[in-house]
Amino acid sequence: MPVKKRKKDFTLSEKLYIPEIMKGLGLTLKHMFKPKVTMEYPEVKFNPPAAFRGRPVLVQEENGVERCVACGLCARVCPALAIEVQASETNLDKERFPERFEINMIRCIFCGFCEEVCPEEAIVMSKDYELVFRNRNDAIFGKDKLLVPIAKLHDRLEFLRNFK
Amino acid sequence: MAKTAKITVDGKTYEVDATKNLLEVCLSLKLDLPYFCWHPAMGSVGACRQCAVKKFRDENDKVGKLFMACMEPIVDGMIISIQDAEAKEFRKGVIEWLMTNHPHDCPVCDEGGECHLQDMTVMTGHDYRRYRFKKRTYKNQYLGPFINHEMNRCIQCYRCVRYYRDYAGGKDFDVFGVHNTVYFGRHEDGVLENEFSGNLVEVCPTGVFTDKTLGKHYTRKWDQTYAPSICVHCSVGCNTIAAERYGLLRRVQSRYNGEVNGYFLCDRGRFGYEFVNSPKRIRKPLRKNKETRQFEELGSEDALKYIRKLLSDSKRIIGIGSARASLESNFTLLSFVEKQNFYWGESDRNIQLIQKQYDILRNGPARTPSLRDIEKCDVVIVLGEDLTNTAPMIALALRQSVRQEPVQSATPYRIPHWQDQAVRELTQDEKGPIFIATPLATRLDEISETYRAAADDIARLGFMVANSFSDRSPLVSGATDEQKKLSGKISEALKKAKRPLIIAGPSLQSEAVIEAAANIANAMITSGKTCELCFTVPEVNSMGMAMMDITHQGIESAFEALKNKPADTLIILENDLYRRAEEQAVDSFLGKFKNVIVLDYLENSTSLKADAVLSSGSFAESDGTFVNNEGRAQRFYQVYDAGENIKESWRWLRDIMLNSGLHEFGKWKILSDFTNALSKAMPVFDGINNITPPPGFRIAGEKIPREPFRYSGRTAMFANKSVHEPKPPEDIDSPLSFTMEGYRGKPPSSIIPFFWSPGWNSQQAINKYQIEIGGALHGGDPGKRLIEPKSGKTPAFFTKIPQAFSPRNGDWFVVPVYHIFGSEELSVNAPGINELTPKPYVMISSEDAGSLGLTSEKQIELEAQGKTYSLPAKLNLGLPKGLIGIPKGLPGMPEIKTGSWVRLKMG
Ligand code: SF4
Ligand code: SF4
Ligand code: SF4
Ligand code: SF4
Ligand code: FES
Repeated sequence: MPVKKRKKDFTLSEKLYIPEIMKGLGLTLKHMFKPKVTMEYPEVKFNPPAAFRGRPVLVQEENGVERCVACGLCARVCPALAIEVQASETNLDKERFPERFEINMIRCIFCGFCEEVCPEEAIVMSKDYELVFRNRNDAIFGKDKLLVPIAKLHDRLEFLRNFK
Repeated sequence: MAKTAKITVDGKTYEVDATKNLLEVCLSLKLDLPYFCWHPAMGSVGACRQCAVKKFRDENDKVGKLFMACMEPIVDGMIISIQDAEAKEFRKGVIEWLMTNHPHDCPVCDEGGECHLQDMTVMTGHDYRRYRFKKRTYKNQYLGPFINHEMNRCIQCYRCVRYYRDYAGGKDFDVFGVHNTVYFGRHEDGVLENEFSGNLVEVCPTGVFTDKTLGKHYTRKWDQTYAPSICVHCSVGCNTIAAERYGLLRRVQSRYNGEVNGYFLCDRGRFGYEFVNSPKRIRKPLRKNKETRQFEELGSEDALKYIRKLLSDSKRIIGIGSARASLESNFTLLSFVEKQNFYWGESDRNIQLIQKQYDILRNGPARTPSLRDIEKCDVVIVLGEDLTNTAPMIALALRQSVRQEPVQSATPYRIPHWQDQAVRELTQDEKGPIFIATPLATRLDEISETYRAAADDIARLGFMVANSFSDRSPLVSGATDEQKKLSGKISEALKKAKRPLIIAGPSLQSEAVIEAAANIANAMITSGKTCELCFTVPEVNSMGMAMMDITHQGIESAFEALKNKPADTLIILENDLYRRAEEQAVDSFLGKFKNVIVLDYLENSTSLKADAVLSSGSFAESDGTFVNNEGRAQRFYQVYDAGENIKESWRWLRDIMLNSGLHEFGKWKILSDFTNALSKAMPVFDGINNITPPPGFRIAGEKIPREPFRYSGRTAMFANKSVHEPKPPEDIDSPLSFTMEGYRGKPPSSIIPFFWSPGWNSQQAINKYQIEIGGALHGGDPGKRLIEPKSGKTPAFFTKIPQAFSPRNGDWFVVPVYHIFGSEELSVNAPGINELTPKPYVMISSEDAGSLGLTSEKQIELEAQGKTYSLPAKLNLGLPKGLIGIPKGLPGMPEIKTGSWVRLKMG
């Protein structure tokens, strides 16, 4: 059987190594003078666009009250069964508020269904993607971690208004 | 099926019941047709226009005409279409204008997720709002501790007012206003007076009336864990659905049983459940420290060890059972202490009476009717029972019985009976004959002819009626003219009756009343007529206790027996002895034992005296069987797993027995082992094991889930305690699972945890579980009747007629006054019921008060059983001279014996 020439067989110049090494070093040299595209995370933070689905958060109005009326729809729709809302009564106009609101962030899959179903625009997907836990218990987010002032959520609320 | 007809719906031909209306028939065929104003228990009025269908003249008619299905009688050969484009468009349009004023507040509405309006809106396809103007708004009313009012959500279907006034006989609720501003409510804020107001929650298809007690700890329908349960607050044994989340009982709803409570419950049954969440709950076993006399909490293992220590050196153990505990629990205690040491924890007097009632039903020819049967009776005699307060749902059933006779008068006019408005128009206020003989005025007086008298006179009246049917019932001599006239009238009515019914009970503590009732029924039957006989009993399982093979000795007998033959250990099963006998007697009785062990779920005077308390499960944490007043054995299942510290009493007792070396009881592992052993030991209970499917029962290899399939928060609920998801508890006693996993279809009728069907999220999903709308559930209505009449034998008649009551000068004869809210031991611990519970008082007839110079609310001193009590007076118009009304069971009210004589002193 005649020996077939294979594509990956090296050419002569390749077999000589040196020219190829020079080529490679040349490429490196060229890039040293080009502008950088890598983000220097964590020194530099990524600011995602409004369409980004970071961790779900609860909208806190300017007066400090959460928007949520504890209707339980987000809990119902959550495919990971990760949301728990316990309703209680309030004298405010909204009648109900979540006495307890918890998301198991180990379970959350960032699908955004909770945001989509919420009739009050009270739970939205934030830009927050930094979720580091030292232990699993820290991954249970209660109202203390979930409530975010509305001022920080304008982008997303605007986005929802335009595209939801 | 009485009369059948063939109809064609959307090209398919069906054979249907011709006495029903088209809507009912379509729903019975399990077709989806939206409706609002029609309700299976209340018939049609055609008010909402939601149930429109196309009706065609014949096959050639392709255009057809729109008709309201709920107003259309079935005609043979009828051709209709539900799917017709015009009909669909019409129904969608109706929803659209119903929605013009409807607030979009589903997120904060308690009805959301189980709302008939939501379901119907989705079903018709209305999804976009075109109305751009201001909505009309209303002021809401305060309606008491049970019901929340949110009028803005109303769609003017008129169901509430038809239920409250026409069905339940309420007076303080109506429809006001006109046009776009009709208002459903009271004339002013205030507690709804009707004892069945809670049903508004289920009757109203929207969120106008919602359960206030649920609202306090609100959870959506899909987030609750459910179980089929039985109401424990009276002897009727209504079927209920109990719901839980986080170990907190959230609410009770009616569980349809065509033979028992149908669609409804009384307010005691619906709102009494909160005793389960009471701060007085015993949630862990307790041991009394010998020195400090304080209770210390124990783990269940330690508790059993402690009890073993107590039992190891006892020579004789006495057991006291209870009619609020299940058959299984009583039987286990009985097996442990043995028959001669087991007492039914009820007063001797009550036991005699209940036993007598059971014997009459067991040996006599009269049948004991179910609640549904009672609704169908046309002439009813009530002897001595204030039903609204002792067996509430029977009172509601009687409000339907009075309609039996008048409704028949619609037949010659060819008005179908479901045509509610027309029938009511025709019959106006006509009522069928009901006669009520009680010492005090009752709620049912407005629909009946009444007789106010003491027990003996009531019995005499009964004997007179019995005598008019058969001389084997003795003649009453010395009857008054009033009695003669009334008994004549009653006999007349009974003679004409198609389905007569006699109701009596032990309330007045009078054997004669019960005997008179039996004599009437027996006399009628021997004279060739039919007659049914209904007895109420004091507690949920009193009838079951009467049927058990025990010595039928009560508390006083236990006191006596102890004097002759001492014992050192006492086990009390779910019973507060202080409610059964005099305080001193109980004190001295308990004092005679070295060890007192109590199994109970609420702290009470008896449990406080115990040396050890075992934390039993209430109905919400237990499985078991009760027998209701009809003699129907019914099973209830625990709603949730309460951990190892709360167990069914029968399980605690089994553990105690095993611990004491009675290893043969090791084979009693799960509920059915206990039930089987019971029916083997006592053949009267034969077959009760089969009233629900066995624990190994599976459909398609799966258990029946207690949770709806979209139960949420599973991975977050307990994550704050531990992120490791706990293994779901297992239920070894029933074919139900504690989770949402399992068979999604319709379960067997006796173990339905909740009603739901695709597209039907509200309680109206019941339609899909019934063979025919308003009839039996698929697979038959749950429960098994254990008492059937003996026909053929000539019945025994009672011959002892009591003397007529004669008032004594200066002394008063005690008659009991029962309160739906307050007289029952458990429900008074529910905050809402407690709020409506009256304060202690004594009731005196206005006439007597006049001669004593007494006015309402004035304190009087009452001398009874050698003690003096100071209580405020309440005046009563109807109460006969010489009688004094003593409320029963109210918190803080001293126990004064019915049928005793007391003295009065002015304060
Ligand atoms: S983003 Fe998705 S998975 Fe996460 S909480 Fe919301 S619904 Fe659940
Ligand atoms: S859906 Fe929105 S309003 Fe409802 S409970 Fe969730 S966050 Fe609150
Ligand atoms: S309050 Fe409810 S039941 Fe009454 S008319 Fe309105 S929607 Fe119908
Ligand atoms: S009638 Fe009796 S069993 Fe029925 S709901 Fe009322 S209290 Fe419960
Ligand atoms: S249900 Fe037929 S008109 Fe309302």
